[in-house]
Amino acid sequence: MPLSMPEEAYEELKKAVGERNVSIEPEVLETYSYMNGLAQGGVGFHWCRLPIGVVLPGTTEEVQKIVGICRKYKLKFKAHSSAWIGMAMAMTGNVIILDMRRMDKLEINDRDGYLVTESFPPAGVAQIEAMKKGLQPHLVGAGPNASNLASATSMQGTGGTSVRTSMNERNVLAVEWVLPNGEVLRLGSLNSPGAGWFCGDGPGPSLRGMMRGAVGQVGGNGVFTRVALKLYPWYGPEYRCGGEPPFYDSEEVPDSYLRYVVWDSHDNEAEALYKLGEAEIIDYNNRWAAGAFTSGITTSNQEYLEAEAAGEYKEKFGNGFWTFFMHAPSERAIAHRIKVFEKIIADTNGEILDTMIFGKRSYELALQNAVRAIWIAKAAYMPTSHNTGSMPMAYENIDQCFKHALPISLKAKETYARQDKILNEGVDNCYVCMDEDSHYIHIEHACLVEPWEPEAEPSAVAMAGMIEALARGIGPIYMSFPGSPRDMMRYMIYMGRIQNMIDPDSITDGMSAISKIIG
Amino acid sequence: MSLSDYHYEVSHCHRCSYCKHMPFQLMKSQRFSAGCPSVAYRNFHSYSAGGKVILALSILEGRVKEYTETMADIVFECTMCGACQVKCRTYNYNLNVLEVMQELRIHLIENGQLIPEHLMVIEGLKREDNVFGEPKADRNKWLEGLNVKDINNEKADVLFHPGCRVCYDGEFWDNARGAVTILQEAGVDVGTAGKEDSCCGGRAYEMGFRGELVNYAEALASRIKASGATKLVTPCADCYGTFKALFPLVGQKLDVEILHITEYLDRLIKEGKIKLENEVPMKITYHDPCKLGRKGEPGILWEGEYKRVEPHIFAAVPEKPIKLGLNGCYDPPRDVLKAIPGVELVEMERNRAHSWCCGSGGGALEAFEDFSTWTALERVEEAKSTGAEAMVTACPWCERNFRDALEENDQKYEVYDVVDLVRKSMGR
Ligand code: SF4
Ligand code: SF4
Repeated sequence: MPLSMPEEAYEELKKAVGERNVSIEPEVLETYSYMNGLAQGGVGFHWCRLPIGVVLPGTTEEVQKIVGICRKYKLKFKAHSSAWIGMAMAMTGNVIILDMRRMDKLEINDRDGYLVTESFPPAGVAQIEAMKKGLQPHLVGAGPNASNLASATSMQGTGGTSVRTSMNERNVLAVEWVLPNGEVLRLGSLNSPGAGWFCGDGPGPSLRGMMRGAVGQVGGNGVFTRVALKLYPWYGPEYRCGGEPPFYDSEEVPDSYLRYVVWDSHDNEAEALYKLGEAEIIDYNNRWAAGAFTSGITTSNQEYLEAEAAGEYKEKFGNGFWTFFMHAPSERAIAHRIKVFEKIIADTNGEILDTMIFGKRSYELALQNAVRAIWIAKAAYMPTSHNTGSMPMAYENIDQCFKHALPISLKAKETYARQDKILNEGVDNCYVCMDEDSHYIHIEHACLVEPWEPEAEPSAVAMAGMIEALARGIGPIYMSFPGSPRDMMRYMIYMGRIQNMIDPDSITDGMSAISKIIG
Repeated sequence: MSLSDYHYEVSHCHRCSYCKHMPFQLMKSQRFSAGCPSVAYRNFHSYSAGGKVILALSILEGRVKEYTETMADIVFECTMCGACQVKCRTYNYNLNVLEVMQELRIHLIENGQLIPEHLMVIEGLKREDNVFGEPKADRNKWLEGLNVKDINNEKADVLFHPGCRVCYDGEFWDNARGAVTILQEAGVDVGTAGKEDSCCGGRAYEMGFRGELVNYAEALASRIKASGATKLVTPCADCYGTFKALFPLVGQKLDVEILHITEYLDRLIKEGKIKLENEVPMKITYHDPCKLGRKGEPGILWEGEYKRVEPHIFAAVPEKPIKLGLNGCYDPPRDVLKAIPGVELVEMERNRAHSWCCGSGGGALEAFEDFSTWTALERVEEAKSTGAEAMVTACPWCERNFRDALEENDQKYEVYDVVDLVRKSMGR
């Protein structure tokens, strides 16, 4: 296998997509080998493997040509959109990155309630266009900057709106997919001439389960070039915001209700989530804790330290707090939801807090998160700019997460925070959101670390959490893996077999290399 | 400061790509959702602010060892508009992308990676004290026939600094002369620097030549001191941003009130010293020049370092000024326009601190003409989308670039300066 781009392949790529859309320049490749947090394999904070080239396709046909060239010269490939995760970078040698920026078309079909997106459009952009028509898409927890197609077809897909819009995998209708053999596969109605995008399960083939499995194959299945995604109602008007950075001024959203809530125990918190889910009244939700709140609401490291020293946020949000947003088509409907909400919170010993509790900034954080998921990134990164996450990250039922996943990661974090191997921001800095009216919840524990800190050692926390999770039969990383190591292995074998069918020549540079070997 | 002083900052990019987009809170359409001209034009991540930050880290960590033309393209095919700074700093305390990109430019120049077109500008500047390399003797042609004080001979309260673009581009002479006359008629004691007038040094600095800025800043500071002026007024947003934001960065704080012509006109209109009486029935939209708006935010020289203040918390000590484009000059030009009878002002989607650049800054106009033109036409499209019949700006560089881009592409759209409309309303 060649270790740099063969001259002929480079020439063919230039012909396929135009000279200005291919690069093998070392300086360009450098900028495709950086990721913040723990880079691949936990080996360092920033640098990942260098790809041998970067290509910017503009159409599905161009993607097919690129795949053909990769096959001809035995080069691997991986497509990415916003690329905000280490796995979006090259994982092995000899990889060409397809940066999908130029595939940015987006259509909203308001009559039938779905959008059709190419690979790039960020979820926030899709949301802005959908809201004009009284609709809204799923917004992934990473934020509005992440591609809607990516979270639907290839990676994860949970977020604050998931309580209403579900995991994005559930929203997938018809799909256009360039397979690792270069052929275009059209899933669902797209495969029947003239039938359009409305359905993922026919009249054409339905392979949505194989397409991504539980989590997605992060580039391991070829390139998804277009997907139709279900939209949900937005009762209007469009969200509007003005004012000055950094916090801006939002206009009020009519017939909506936005509050913070805290509980006195994890048991009550869990109980409330079940009830809120059953009531089907919530449109946006997320849990975080004092650390993330302090990060979100301050504007510099000095301000962060002052806020920490004052202790106000820790006192109120030290054991976690939730943001809940409800939105309804009428005054009467919202009044009903508020009553249900207040009763559930009262029955579970929760405390409802005005989002202005810490002033205008705290209100803007809540509302802008509820509508655009915009502050998650800052809350997850400040003040160190590096969040390596701790384990287990789970996507499970509420009990599993609150009785096992949360305590395990809390314990691991506490041990290492005490030794200054990670930032001690109050230990509980756990992000949780309900999915599908609480059939599942996603739980992911922030673990902030400063790479310039001499004591920094975040991988130890991750390892400790993983070992404990495995011992308790919890999936140590990511969601929907069956609990025990044996079950997990079965899942991987199964996914590996699917992978071997989809990509028998191992031409893609997906995350699935291990499962493929096992399979 | 040098690039190595930014090692801490450049190792703190989140790779979130927020620098590429309009803030999602304010975004109104997919069509005008882009925030960074450079990455919108070239598409590779490298060309975004985040990409340039990664490149800087790579240089500092010795991963790329040679200075190449590709590297120079990445660094210089950028208008230094600073839109990325506002977006990034909203979410990231540990990084100031605009400073990093400036240091990266200086670093490349210091290591011999020059852009030939920029070098020509600098040579002309050294020779003739203007960015066009035109004869220094022609600098005051725009003034001929006007009765204006020369501060080398007599004191004046206001020093009027026209800027290279106005001095050497005849299309702007009527406007500059009009501005001076309006000020005089309003009772303002105006003077110019006569034969001592020269470049501000801002464009050279953004091309990576720090020394030129230092020299011109010193020269202007001593001229002002000698003149006894209390105000420095310029019709050029580029010069305004240089005086306000860049001079302090090289330790030169002018002992004078710095005003853009629109700020001064706004003040005089509000004081009743200028009367706008004639109707100018036009639906217009206003383009915020980068160096008047977000890059007109006053600069503060920060001399400090990132220190470990607690385990896992490093902070800039002393605290670094937060640059978010606040306190730029946004309202005065709008207020002037609103004061003109008959004018209907509508806003573009990307405005104020998030205005899309005209494409002429950062040396892009001189060295990357296609990029510069493309950036200008993007803005024209945005202006047209508002339904406005004309776009009004407050900088001769923006106006020139819009007009040239339109002409080169056989397109028609009216572009004015704020002063043009004031003059219309005053019957000048
Ligand atoms: S430069 Fe700033 S906004 Fe851009 S990717 Fe880096 S952290 Fe994000
Ligand atoms: S200064 Fe302007 S063109 Fe340059 S990277 Fe920043 S936003 Fe892009």
